[in-house]
Amino acid sequence: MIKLTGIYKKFNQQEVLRGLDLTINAGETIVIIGRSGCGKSVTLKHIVGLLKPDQGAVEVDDVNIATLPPLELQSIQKKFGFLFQGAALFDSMNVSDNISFGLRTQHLMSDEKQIQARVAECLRLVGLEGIEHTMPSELSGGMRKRVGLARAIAAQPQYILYDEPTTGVDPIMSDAVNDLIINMKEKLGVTSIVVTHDMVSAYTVADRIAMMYHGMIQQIGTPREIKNTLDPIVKQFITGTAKGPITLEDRG
Amino acid sequence: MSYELRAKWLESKVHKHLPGESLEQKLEERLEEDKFIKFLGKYIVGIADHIGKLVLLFFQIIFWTFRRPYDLKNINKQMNEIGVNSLVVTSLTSVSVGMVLALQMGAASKNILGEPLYVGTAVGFSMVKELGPVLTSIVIAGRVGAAITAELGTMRVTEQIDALYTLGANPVKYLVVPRFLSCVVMVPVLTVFSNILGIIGGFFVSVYKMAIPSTRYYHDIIDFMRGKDIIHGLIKCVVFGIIIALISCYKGFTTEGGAEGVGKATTQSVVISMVLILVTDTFLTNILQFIGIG
Repeated sequence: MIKLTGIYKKFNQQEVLRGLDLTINAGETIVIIGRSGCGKSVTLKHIVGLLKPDQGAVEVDDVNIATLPPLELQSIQKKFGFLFQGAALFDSMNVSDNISFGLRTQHLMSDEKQIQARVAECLRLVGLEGIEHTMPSELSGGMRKRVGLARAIAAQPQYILYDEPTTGVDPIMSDAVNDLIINMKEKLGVTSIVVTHDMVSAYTVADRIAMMYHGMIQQIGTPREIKNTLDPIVKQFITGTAKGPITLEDRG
Repeated sequence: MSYELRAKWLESKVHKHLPGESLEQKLEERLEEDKFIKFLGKYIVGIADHIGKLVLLFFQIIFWTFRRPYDLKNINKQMNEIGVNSLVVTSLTSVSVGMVLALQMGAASKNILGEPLYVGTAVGFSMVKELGPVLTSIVIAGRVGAAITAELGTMRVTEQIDALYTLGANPVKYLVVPRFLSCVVMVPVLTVFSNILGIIGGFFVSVYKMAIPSTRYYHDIIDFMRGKDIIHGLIKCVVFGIIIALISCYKGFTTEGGAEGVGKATTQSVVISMVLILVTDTFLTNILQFIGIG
């Protein structure tokens, strides 16, 4: 279980998170929605320990990672897989080395045949068989994203964080990514935290949806509750209308 | 404090002001002073912050250097990149400098003493103790330091460094330690090459242009140079190697703001490394001479 309590985070003078509280239960898929710049990716980076809060606690399996020394934090970070917004593939390595990187550094597999088999399996799951020796610079944006996804799931982590998994991916592949997120949960019991603007994807994969606004959770509920919300802010966001309490200048 | 509150406070505090000088003028002056102090304070705190983070990075490097497993493949790759691939450019620099030194020293001593004397001594000492270490380090700072900052800076802005954390690898161990070790080892190695090539360059000019007998050039160096003169130069190289690696990795790790940020960080890295090499050289020469090394 992941529990964020009273998280505050400032960058220079800009307050991004203002007392964020969020609990993510084991085995569930939670989707975080909100306007660009409202702090969704910052929240993900707090969960995985890439950022430390100015105030508040981030508990992963009852351990507050906000105060952990680097070495202990590193062992907690091994529980996570992270799909970055821009995929964050290592430019100097080919696709195979990118996907197997976590397997090697965490010493999860030592046999090269086993590693290559796992790489091929992950690539098959994201629909990219046979590109093991391709360099990231030769891939399109959508393909990079899918390789990033393959890398995130390769080590079979307990928690997977997806930062806009369907952005830049065609609609058919987008649906396949949604199926993959659901399968990860159903077959392996993975806890998933998905940040997205894609409401179709959100309704498809989510057990619960949390809407972030002004550095806090505006509303959290099941997809049905969010669809039928009476909150004007959430309603405006999910229906995607320009007129409403959220103005264009308001970054949320 | 608001302007009005500040004015009231100043009114109660400022007893002495010159006849004809209004309170408003005094207040304006005081506010200007405040702005300057604020700016200065921010600047000093900023520098202290950078120094603190650099020291912290240095200790992290030391910690991760001695922690198993050793990434020999990566260290070998960096040694090759930093050392072998820099050999041509450092060699060309040192040969040219050695030749110019011989020419200048020969001409100067000919003007003053009527014949070119102690050319070998001047070239040898200059190369081994000063020009070899400093010029090699400056060339490395420009070639390798810039490349390290640009590479790490790009990795930072494209979240590749964050990705390393999430894949169970420590970026300091994986990215910084191999580059640090390579700089610390390869800068002295390249300097030794530079010293030799600079002296050889000086030899050709002395023998073929100024008709100095080759044995005299040789003895001008061998008769006066001691082991501690060579150690003097090598100690400097190690320190300069540390400076190049530390500054370039730090600037890369703290890059912000996309492509423009990478460009700025790279420029700053090279400028800071070069200035620090020259400033450190002054202090280091004094310290080494004081403790009797060279």
